[in-house]
Amino acid sequence: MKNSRALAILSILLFAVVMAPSVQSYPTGISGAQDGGCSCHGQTASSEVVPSLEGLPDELEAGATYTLNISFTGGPSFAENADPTALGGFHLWASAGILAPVDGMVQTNSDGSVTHSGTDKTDSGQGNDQRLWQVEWTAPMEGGAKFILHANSVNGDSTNGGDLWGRLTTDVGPQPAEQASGLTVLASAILLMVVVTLGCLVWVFYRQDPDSFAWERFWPWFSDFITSTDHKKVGSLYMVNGLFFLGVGGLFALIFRIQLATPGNDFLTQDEYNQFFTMHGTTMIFLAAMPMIAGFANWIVPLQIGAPDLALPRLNALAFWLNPAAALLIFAGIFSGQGADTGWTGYAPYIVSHTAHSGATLWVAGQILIVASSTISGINFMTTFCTMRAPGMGWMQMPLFSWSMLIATLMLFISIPAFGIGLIQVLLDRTIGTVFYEVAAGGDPLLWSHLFWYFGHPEVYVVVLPAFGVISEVLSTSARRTIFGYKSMVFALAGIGIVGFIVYGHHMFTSGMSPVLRFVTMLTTMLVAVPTGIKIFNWLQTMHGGSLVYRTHTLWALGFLVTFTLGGISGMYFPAVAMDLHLHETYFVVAHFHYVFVGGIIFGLYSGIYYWFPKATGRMMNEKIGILHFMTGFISYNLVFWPMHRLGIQGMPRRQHTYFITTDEYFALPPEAADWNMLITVAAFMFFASNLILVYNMISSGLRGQKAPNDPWGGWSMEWMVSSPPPTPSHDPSDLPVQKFAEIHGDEEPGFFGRIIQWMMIPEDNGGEEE
Amino acid sequence: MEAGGDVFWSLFNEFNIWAAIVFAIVMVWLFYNSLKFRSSDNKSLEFESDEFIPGVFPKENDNLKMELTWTIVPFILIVYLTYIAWGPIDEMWSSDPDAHEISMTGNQWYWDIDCDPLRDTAEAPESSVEMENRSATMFYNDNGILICEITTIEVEGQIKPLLRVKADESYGFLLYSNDVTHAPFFLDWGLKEDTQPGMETRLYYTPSMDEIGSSLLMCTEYCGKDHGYMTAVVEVFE
Repeated sequence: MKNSRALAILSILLFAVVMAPSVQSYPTGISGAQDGGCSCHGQTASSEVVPSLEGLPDELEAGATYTLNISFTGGPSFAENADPTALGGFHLWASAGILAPVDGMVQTNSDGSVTHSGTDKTDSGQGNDQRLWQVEWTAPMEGGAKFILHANSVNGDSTNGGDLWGRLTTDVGPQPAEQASGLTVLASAILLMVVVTLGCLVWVFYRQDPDSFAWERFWPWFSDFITSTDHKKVGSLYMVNGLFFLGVGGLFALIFRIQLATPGNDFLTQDEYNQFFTMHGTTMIFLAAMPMIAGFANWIVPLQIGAPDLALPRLNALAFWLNPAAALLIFAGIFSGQGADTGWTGYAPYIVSHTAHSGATLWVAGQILIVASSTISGINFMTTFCTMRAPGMGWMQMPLFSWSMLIATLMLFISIPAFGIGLIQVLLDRTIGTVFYEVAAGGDPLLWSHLFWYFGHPEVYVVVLPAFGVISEVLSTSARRTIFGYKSMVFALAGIGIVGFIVYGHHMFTSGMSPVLRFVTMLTTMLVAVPTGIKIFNWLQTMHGGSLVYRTHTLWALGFLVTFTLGGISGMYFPAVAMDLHLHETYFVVAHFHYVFVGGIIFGLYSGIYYWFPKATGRMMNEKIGILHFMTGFISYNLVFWPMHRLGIQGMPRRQHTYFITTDEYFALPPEAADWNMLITVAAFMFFASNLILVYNMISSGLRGQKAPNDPWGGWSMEWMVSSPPPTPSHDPSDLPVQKFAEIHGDEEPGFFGRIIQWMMIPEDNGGEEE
Repeated sequence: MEAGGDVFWSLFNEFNIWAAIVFAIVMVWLFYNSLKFRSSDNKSLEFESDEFIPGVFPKENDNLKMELTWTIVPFILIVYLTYIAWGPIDEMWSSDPDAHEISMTGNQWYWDIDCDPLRDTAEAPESSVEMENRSATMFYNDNGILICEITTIEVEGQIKPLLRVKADESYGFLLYSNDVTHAPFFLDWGLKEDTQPGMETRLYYTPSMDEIGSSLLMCTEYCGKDHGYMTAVVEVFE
């Protein structure tokens, strides 16, 4: 009964979410490379201006030359007060054959298209005094051709204001089979992933008990999963969601890496490229990294602190189910050809300008759901930590993964409201015409940047701290040595948590904000290195005097130490303002944050997957395939991101669909930059493929792996006390485990802060008993 | 020519040395600890290890002196790095009242550059009001020497503005935007600053004789569809 009600509410919510925003899309969708050639006066085509292209034959003769007449009707050029010295202009592009001017009224562009002469208003060309032009077109030796004609109707006042334009597309002769656009490639790949995921689901169901397979039993089994409030099942949903979108985000990256493989490539139009990198960032951070972390937190935290479940299980399920709804919204725009093209940072005033795609509205709406989801799960985890720790487990006796989740949750809880407020303002600006970000109406051009980075920088720590927690658990267990300096690890986590809030200005060194704030955040950003350094040195020292066992999760943890150290060091270059002015918004930044996000977070989480997989499924993972995954992944990962440092120093800007190589005329990127980009693209495909090994390993080991004992790696925290997979409820509520200690602690009594926190909490002795 | 200015490279080289030292220490430590203190058969406990029992908080493993060492030593390094990064800030941000001012206005998706933005305004220096040869595309100083000129250049088939400035002259760029945030990136000088609508931002630079030549100027704050094509060329002449 309860389940069906929840389902009904969910479907109403989904229906409302799908129906509410109205989406506008260009009927023509995204067009091809010729888009860049339109130097039209104004943003959108006008139906008043009707271009015409005459002289094309019905039957095309190969290699023959035709004279084409170009003209247009309508628009300000035909108004009575139009200035005869500037009446109109055109741009004609042909997919094949050769276009050539007949007289001085027409000139050829370097891409082979033709346009009227006198394009510069100050020169004395006559071509823009006309409404009729002639060009010659030599047909190609085989196949037909497509034509795209733009015509400007000009009112003669020497500015673009008041001018109108129209577009005409036509073709002649046999047309080649249409080339798939980047969007089609993406859609097919995502569809394939959905099919494969569903196929895996059915296969997993089948393999559970092949003898009594029956379709009638599939739905009860499946609906039990998706309507469950059990922290383990919600955790699994989070993990599947996170891994799926990790794949989708990777697909985006592969497609735009093809575009960047060579300079001046036209695999994607700039419009598509902008949407793809926006969706890549958004997907990876909000739909992949955060759900995967929430997945780990859901699975491990209650087991680790000795609780039967999370404090608020139904809120937990709600927090998860907001995620797929948000994903639908965020992705809805892109398949209409009008996806968000704002960058994951969604900078105002661009995001509220009319040039931003209409999909940005949906993107903002989806982000608001993510904010809601994070806030709800934040409440849940904080309540759980405060009230449901096992008897005897003080704050300073929590396992480090739990500590890292507590700090991360606190940081998220404090920072994400700023983002939520900004998003709501943007949504109102874009839908009902408020002017929070309209500079002409007195809006502050820097307000969004401040709100976003106040959230955005702590967000980086929110996703990286749980990875720190995983590494602390894995290294300690693998070295079979207590984590070195438990207390300083906790204080370092807290230190990062506090300092993380006052550093965000380093994202805005070039923005023109107050120099005082720039100076202060330069100092504080430098300071973050200290607690981070403490953690790295403590990890290194943990192995000292231990007996390190090399498992796949150990390898990922050691790999994490290498790559995260590099990512941390490259981060030190940005707070030095004089260097940041050069490196800001170049590939050096891209290299740095991928070393932190992939080399830090994803490597940490992979380590966690190999570490806790036996606990979650009751099956050991295949170590040989795991080592293959690590070797291929680690090498190809470094091949992808290490050369980006070099490109950044050479000045290759990020978020651009093309890049410029030095010519005789001007200095830009050195020619070797093209080779490095090709290497990055090839390595990116290898890195993507290496991750498929993990998926294969998870499925095959989950079904056929060796049975796992309760404590396969010899860990000490409470998740290893229960069976693998754990029972439901995870710890028996009537017989909760009691934290014991290997040695007598002198500090059993709570300290100063401990007393304050406990004073604020429900007393532990009567918490959870009065149901 | 090389991307990045002198200030960038002097700091960058110094930071690289320290980065290499820190990374080398971490790597040596990592390989030493992970190889020396490994279990020979992936099972047996060697050296002095703590045995873990699920549900039992293990023995403490800490050393206050060591932890303080790697709190204080990195802190000193950070203070030093902050100190050396501090000096050049003055150089980057100090304004020069005698600089010749050039305005750059970001538009979607082109740059409007003006050699003489103060003409016709009350702020224009009195001596130059009567001067001849003043137009938006050229500016001669009091001695009649050309110090700023704007023409056009072809970049990958598109006509883009070419800004010509004189070496060893001090320039102040007044940055504006008519629509959204943009940022001119002076590749050769290693400088960039956002242009914001409704706000004036500034950038001061004196190109040196070593920087003679043309380099590409790109937009480095994402501004929409043709962001990647929003280029110009800056030439420093003698």
